[in-house]
Amino acid sequence: MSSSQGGGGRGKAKTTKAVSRSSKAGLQFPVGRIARYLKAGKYAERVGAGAPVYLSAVLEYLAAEVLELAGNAARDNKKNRIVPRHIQLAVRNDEELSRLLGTVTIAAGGVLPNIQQVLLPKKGGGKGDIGSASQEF
Amino acid sequence: GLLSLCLNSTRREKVFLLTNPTSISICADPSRGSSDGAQGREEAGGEEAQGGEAAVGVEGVVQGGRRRRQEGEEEGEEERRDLHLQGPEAGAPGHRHLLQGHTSVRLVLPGELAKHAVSEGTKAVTKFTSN
Repeated sequence: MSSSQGGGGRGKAKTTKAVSRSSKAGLQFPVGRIARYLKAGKYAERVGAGAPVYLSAVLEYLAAEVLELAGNAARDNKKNRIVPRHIQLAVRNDEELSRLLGTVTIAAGGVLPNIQQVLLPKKGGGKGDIGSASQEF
Repeated sequence: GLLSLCLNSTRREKVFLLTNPTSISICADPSRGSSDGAQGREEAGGEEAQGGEAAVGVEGVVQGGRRRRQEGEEEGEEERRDLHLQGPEAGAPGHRHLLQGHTSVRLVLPGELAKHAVSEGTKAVTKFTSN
């Protein structure tokens, strides 16, 4: 994680300890690394100082959202470890994440359990059996 | 949702055509194009975050009706800003401090996700600049 030198401390001869831009912004995602990606990716000739901070915050929020929901799905299945199935269940059961990842396929994710109503067996099985043999009988 | 993604892809393709015509084949790939576009949009949003920060402070003062009208104006300005990309000699608009930083995030993310993401981004930039 990249860091920037803070201002010299008063009465201190030593160089001030490095303070990361992530900690300055109160984020867990790496601001310096994302800034490097923005510059190296050639999205624009110049990148503003606030851009990687803003982008880091947005990515961190999205990651937290997905992990929160996936963690809930894992807990509902009485598991302590999140697997791709839990992420799939979390994403497809949330309306907005489902829309955001509408064109995305999650490997080993499976599908939501869903059976069309008309395919379910009717009430009164015995009568249904007779009916299935012949309608006119 | 889908309309926003279409808008996003369209803008991204324009940028590709201007900067590097040989990248059209890469842009033709839907998944690659959309992800790159998303990255670019978010980057643009972040770049204007400081201006957006000041504007957010201003929005706290204006009335509801004016805020809605102001947001409309901001969208117009965003379109005008994109037109500047047509010529390499064009610089950033002089009224840059009026532009909203969160336009790109709102285009990419649906509904409440966009609202919360903009709030998180603005909060982080505010804290970063005050430190």
